[in-house]
Amino acid sequence: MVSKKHLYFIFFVFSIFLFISLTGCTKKEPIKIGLVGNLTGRASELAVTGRNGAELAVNKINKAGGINGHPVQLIIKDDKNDPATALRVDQELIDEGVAAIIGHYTSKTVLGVLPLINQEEMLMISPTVSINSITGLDDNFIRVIAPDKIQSHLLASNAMQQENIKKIAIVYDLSNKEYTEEFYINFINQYIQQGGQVLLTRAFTSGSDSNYVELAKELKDSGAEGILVVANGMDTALFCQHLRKLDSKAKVMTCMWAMTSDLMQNGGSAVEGILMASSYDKDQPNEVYTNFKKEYLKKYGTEPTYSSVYSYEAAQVLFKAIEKSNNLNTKTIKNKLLEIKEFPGLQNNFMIDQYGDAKRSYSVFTIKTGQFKRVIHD
Amino acid sequence: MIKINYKLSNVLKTNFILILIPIFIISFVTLQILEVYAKRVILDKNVLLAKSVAYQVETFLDHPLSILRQLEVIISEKQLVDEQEIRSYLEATIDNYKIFESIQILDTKGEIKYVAPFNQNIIGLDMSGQEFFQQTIKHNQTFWSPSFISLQTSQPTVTITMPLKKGIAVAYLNLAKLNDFNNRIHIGKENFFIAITDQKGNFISHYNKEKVYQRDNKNNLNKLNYNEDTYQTNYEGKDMLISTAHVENSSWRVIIYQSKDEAFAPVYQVRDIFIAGLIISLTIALILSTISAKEILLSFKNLTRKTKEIATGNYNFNLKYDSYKEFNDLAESINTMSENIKLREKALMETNKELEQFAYVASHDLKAPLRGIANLSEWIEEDIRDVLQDESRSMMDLLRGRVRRMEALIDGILQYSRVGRTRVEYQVADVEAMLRDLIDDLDLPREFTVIIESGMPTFNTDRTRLMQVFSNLISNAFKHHNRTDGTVTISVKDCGEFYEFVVTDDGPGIAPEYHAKVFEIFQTLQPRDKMESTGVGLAIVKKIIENQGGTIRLDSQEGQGVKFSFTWSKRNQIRIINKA
Repeated sequence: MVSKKHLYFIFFVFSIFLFISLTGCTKKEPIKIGLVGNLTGRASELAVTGRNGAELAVNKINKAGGINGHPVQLIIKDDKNDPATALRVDQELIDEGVAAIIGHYTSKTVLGVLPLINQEEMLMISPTVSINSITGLDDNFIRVIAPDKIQSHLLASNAMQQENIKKIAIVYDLSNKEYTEEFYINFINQYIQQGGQVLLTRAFTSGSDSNYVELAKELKDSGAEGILVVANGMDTALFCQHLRKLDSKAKVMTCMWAMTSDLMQNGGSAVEGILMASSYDKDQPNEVYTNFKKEYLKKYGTEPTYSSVYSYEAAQVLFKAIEKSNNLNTKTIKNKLLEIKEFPGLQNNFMIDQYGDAKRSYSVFTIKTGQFKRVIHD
Repeated sequence: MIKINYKLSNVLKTNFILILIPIFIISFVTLQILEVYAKRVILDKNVLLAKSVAYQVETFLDHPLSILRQLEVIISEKQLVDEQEIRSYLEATIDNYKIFESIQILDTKGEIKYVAPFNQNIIGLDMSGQEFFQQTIKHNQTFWSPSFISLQTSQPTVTITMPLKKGIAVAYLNLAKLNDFNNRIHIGKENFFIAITDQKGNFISHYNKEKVYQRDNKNNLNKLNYNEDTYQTNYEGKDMLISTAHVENSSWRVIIYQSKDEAFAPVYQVRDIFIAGLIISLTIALILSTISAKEILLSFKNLTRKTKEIATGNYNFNLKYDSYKEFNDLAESINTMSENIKLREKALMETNKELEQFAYVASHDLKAPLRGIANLSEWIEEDIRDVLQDESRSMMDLLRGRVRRMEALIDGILQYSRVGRTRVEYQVADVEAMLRDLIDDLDLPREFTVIIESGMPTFNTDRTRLMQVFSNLISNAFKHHNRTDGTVTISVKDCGEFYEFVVTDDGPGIAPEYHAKVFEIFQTLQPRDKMESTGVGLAIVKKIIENQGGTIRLDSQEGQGVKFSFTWSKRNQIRIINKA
């Protein structure tokens, strides 16, 4: 016989059960992380592959339960490689309450937003911006790539000592001149110091309006033994193509910015033998990196670039710092990050110093039969 | 076995719950099945829609394919030989078919030989690094490239490449045209839209153009590469249904995104209506059953009240009913029964009245001559007192004794006949006090002891009759005792619905062969000459006890006293139907 008391008890238990299932236990708020780069346009390969790498990192951390139980939500914005747009989207991210921003991917945009992120106490960690002028600054900007002075010096030394290039011509892209000017100037300083001679320096602006053919002709006619192209992968490829058409025998050198798949796709045989300094070796047999490469290929159908790898690492660095902070205060996260100092990379460990600048080892690479290959070690 | 009587109201409530539970369970299970089925229909419908769109895309792409095939035929079979003719043909193709952004002819090394729209700067460029060149040369078949940034336009593009006899033809597709096509089969926007991806999962058509320009890739390639189905997933913070279908000629994928809430809205509506209907039905059922139950219980209450009234002798209480037919029939039957009882009672009362009158008259008429005989014998004795001898005198005494015996017998008959016919009056009986009064009234010798044991109850009963029983038993015990200093003990035991009283004496006892005889009327164990007794006392005791539903038992052996045990009901029972 079911008495009234039994009925009340059953109803009470059922109500409790219903309440718990409807509230679905306690769900933790996601941690929002912004990612911003030039995702569209001619030089978008860097940011697009970087975004992919960061997404993999986010998927991985979420599969493992998030940061201290909180899932990570990646909010992606396109800065179109334009400082004004970069400011706007960064502000949007700040307003959306992101804990930190991964990006930007070009020096031009970073320089444009530095005042904002410092003023708003927003932590920014860049995978690819290596401009030297912001080295040694105590601010809210961190990077996982080493300042480019090392690259340009290594390349210059290699040109003189290994390639025996005594005379060079230089062409650089004004659309990212904060980086390209600094790079070639550092290169020249090292190169001249070692006895080299700069015959010609030309600037261009990336895009279809630029007269690549005429510039290539000028570079070839300069008589230089080597040509330094400080530009993105596509433009570097185009210059190489035109130089090849003109039957130029000069050795082409470029910067790490160009070390993307569109250099080879658009360069074909024209980019065979090109030289660059890089801290990323796509053929590294490291198991962690190999697994990452497999996962990237499986998800995106292409091989990762250095931007993919460094974006992944930037995300990992950030997650680690947030996990140790136990809160989302920028100062706390930054301090924790700087406390850790050494981080396990996908290929090698790397250091971040007290100013947030990374230290990595560099090597000279070339393209051989359509693949990036290491030439010499640092 | 103890029988437990449940309350009808509780039984009705329990039955309602017992019916409710299976209804809930069956409804829940049915709803779940229906929901699953309905959702599956929607999921399948979305897959069909995706397939339909994929077919339309395939048809759309057949056109540029056929143009390329035509180009291949023309160039491979050297229908056009002159370089200028080839250029003109290519330019015309670009002008006429806006789906193409540009067309290039590459040689076997990957160098651009021809391009439309014509651009001298591009001629001679080495495209051997492009995947479209490598795959086409390797497999010697049409190849659809994944999206990449065009060297000429700096925008995402895809190419169709077709192998030629010497080299390949490369057609760059205008993705804006593809988006236009998508817009023509537009379904909705954020909650219901179509996207097209290349074979690597990069969007090449999307209502949000940024996703195309940014070469966004949010797909799980493995799942989407092989299965045309609908998946439930979280896409950009929303629960979405994603249905995929292959575009056969290009290995692209058509993906239909629909908000789960929007897709399943009709299912949820039906579910909500079902639940609402179920709740309303059950509420109505509950209300109706409560009303019915209350009516039924009220009817029972009224019927119970009526029967109680009848039990108290009130036959004028007429049940009027306008309820369920069964209750109406029952009420009618009770009214009829009540009327019949009333008539029978009236007849019985009249019969009893006549009987009482008869008994009174008979006893009066019988006793009158007896008194006359007694008086006459006294008068005769007085008249012949001088000559009356002692023997004759004792015979006169004997005569008068017989007359008194006769009178006592007549009184005994009258008394016996009255048992069960007079109206019972129930009153509170303190049995111990009643026994003490009775003992006083019996005026027993001082040395004769009557012990009343503790625990005598006080209860509502027919006090008069109970006292008569005790009076007869105690006076019998004294009368038939062989000593004047005898003892009678009275005890009681509570037996639930009745009391068991025990009257025990230490007299001469009764032999077992006479146990039945002692309860018969006019039967005495000793000759009346030896002990004057009417022989009706125990018969009256037995009749009184049996009339109120009890039993009497005699335990005795000769020389071992007598023990009378009788049961007396605690319940008030209306038995008497005549006024005394």
